[in-house]
Amino acid sequence: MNTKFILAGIFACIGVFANGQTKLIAHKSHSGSTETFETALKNDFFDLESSNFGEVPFHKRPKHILDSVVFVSDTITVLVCSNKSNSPGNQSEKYAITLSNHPIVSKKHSKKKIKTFLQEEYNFQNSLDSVPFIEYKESTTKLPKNKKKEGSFSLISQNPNQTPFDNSKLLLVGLVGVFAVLAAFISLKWKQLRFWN
Amino acid sequence: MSLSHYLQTGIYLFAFLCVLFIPFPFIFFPFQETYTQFLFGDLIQVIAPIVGIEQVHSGISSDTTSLYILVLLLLILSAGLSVLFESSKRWEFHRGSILILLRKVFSYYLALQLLKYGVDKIFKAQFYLPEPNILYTPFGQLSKDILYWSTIGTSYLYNVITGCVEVLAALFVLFQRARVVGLLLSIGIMIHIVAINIGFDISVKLYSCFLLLLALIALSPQVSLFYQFFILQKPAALTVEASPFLFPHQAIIQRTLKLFIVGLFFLEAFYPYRQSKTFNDDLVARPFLHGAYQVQTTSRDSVMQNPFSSIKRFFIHRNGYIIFQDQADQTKDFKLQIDSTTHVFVLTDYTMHQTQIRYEYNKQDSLLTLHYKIQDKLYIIQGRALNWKSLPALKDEIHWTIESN
Repeated sequence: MNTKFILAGIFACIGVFANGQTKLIAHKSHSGSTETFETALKNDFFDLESSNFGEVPFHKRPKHILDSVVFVSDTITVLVCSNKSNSPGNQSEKYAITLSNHPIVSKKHSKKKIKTFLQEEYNFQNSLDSVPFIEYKESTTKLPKNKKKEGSFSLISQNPNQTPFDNSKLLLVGLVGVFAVLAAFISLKWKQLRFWN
Repeated sequence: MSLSHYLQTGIYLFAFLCVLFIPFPFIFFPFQETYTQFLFGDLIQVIAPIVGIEQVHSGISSDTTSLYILVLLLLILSAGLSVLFESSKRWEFHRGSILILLRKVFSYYLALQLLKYGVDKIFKAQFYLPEPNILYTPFGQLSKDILYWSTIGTSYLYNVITGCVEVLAALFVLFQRARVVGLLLSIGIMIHIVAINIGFDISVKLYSCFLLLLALIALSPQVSLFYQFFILQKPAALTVEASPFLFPHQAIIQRTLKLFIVGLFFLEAFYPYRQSKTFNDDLVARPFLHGAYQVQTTSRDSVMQNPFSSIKRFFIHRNGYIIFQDQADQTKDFKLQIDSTTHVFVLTDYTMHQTQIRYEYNKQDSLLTLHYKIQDKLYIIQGRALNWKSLPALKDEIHWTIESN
């Protein structure tokens, strides 16, 4: 399937990936002046709070909420979103993402499947159970199961304002722990074997 | 107790307190800011006026006055603790082991930072590709920090190589046998970074000096041997430090703990990239309408009537900003929200004043037209997208001979 994504809306603000920079460089990168930097710093305007130490900011990102999904036609779907950051400059931004010929987000799939996909791919902060699907009527034409995702595009890579120990992170830490125990055990056994030989 | 003992203990405690309390934005340990603010936040606000600083930004971040005051507080605290500890007989008994343990902690912390910054460079996330508004700003008008950041951002190869060197230094530091080499390499790297941060006025001066201090402390037991070997040219063997007293007879626990910590370091460094599946930031798709636009036409009113007639170019920044550049290359930036359903730009200035501008985008001609109303009078700015990626600064060419230039 020739999948074409039309990405509209300010997904500039969503930022798949933030860059490493200091607060001053972050401000100067969009031609911000020294005079306005003072104001921005004092009030934690815009994206300034996420920049620090020249490191890549990751866990401080604004919240993105999916307000509704509008099925404009068989091929075009619009995700109506808002961004509810605590930062004054980012308060309640409304934006839309238009998806065209999307392999999953279309009337051909069940609401459940679409919601699962949206939650995984876009990682919205709100529960999608109550998100209204406007002009949605499930099509009778179903796509074959296990069809590979085509051209999927992750807009938000992680949940920024969740507690630091959300399940996926805990699982990863646990896996590292298991790996450490196994690797330590194997390396010691290996050392013992070499000693006896 | 000698003065050198007090001084040594004081320096070690100061470095350890800095490791604990300087709020670095770790992904898997994001608590530093919270507990540092809780413990020192109010104190910093109280102390600031005493040392003659009237206004202090409440957040403790890189090279802010609050960070300097925090470090000063930690220095005073460590001096006090040093006197207290050195007068204790229990401390005297364990002193050697504790200092070895602290050196290990410093080595690991340094390795973590080298790994994180190194991986950021390899994936081109630290020194990112300069934004179009920076590329079209005259060289002399940029300040040194953004100039340096942007210049380094133009070379993918340089970033990968410097990133690899940092990762290599981190790996050497993590392994006992290669630690001395790793620390020597780290000192070289950190001296270079401190020089850049001071020379180009980049606001990570204090933190880079602190990392250099950690590397120097971790290497300090070998200094006399280096002197003996390199200067006196006498045979010398590196000091092998006994393991600190954590689980001394339980090799499996010690090894597990080490592997667990190293595993967490790798997780901390690679997690953002695994999550975003982004391994070269230069290639990440830029947002809708991102780029530079050369103004083709504006409304035919005079300058007095049309406030936009002097605009030469405008830019859409990847982090959601719109920047206007006038004929004198002066710029003005606004936070930008794009409502693609109603074709409206919402511009927010630094007084939080919002302005709505209707836009039209003709993809075929790459023409972006802005319609702005002032007192029922419509002004139009039409800009054509510039091929900013073809600018000489972004051409990744290597010329081995001058003739091939």
